[in-house]
Amino acid sequence: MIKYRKNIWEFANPNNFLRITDKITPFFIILTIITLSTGIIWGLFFTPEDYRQGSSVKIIYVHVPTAFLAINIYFMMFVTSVIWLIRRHHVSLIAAKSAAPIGFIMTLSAILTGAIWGKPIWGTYWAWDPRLTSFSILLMFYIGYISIWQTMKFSDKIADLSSWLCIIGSIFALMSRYAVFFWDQGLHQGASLSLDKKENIDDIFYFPLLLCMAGFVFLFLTLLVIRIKTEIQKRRLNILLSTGNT
Amino acid sequence: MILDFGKYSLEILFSYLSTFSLILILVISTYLNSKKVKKDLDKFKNKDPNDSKKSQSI
Repeated sequence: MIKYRKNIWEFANPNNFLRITDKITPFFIILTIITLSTGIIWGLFFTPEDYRQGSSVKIIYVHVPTAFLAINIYFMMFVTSVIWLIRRHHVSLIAAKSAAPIGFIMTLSAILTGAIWGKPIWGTYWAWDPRLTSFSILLMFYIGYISIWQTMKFSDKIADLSSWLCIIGSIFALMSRYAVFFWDQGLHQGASLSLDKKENIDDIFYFPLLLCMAGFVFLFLTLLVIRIKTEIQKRRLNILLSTGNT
Repeated sequence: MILDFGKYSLEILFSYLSTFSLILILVISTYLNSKKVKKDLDKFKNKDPNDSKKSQSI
């Protein structure tokens, strides 16, 4: 147990982080290409139409993975922000900062694909349904978080502010996940994936969906690692430039 | 046609196109940003080492 904990905190050292991630990034890229292309081709071309929704069910292979990531990236940011506030590890702060634009794109994509899917199935692009509303608020929190980093220069105070914003926003991320259960109303259905096999969608849709989700998760990990590396290098460059100019 | 998914072809194509366009923007911006920072860092490291010594002595 002690060894395990020690290993996790090794990532807090930027040198260790760069050394380890340099080795694993090519594997992430290969896994992303394989799982995402297989999942999308399987889902689009080799699954049947749903008996109620027709072929529009094929939107599930982009809508569910992006919505899943939109919520879980925010939770990842929540955890790394808490680590920053408690232990002051810069890599964890950089991880949250680097993940935010990816989370924003995933949230936007989930809302867009949901609206496109909603028109033929619900008869409307948008409704103030609990899940849709909490998702739009989550999008606002992503925009707010990114804006803080885009408009202000790095300081511990700004890092704390962004971390607190992230912690407050995590309530809406939680609401986005459980909104359907909290308020038993609205147009949005319950979870498409569940640990309970009875609640799951049919296997014929389930396995390509699982593959697509794995593909999107690997895509997120690849982009995250590259963005963290870039951010660490950018900070090093800024330090070198500032010490070189004095 | 290979991209004919029946009644909801347009909706399906719009969903996939919008998602992958957004992801492409993210991938390209991540790649370009990483290249730029790497290039700047290499440029700084390959600069005449006397420059930094000079500035430090100042």
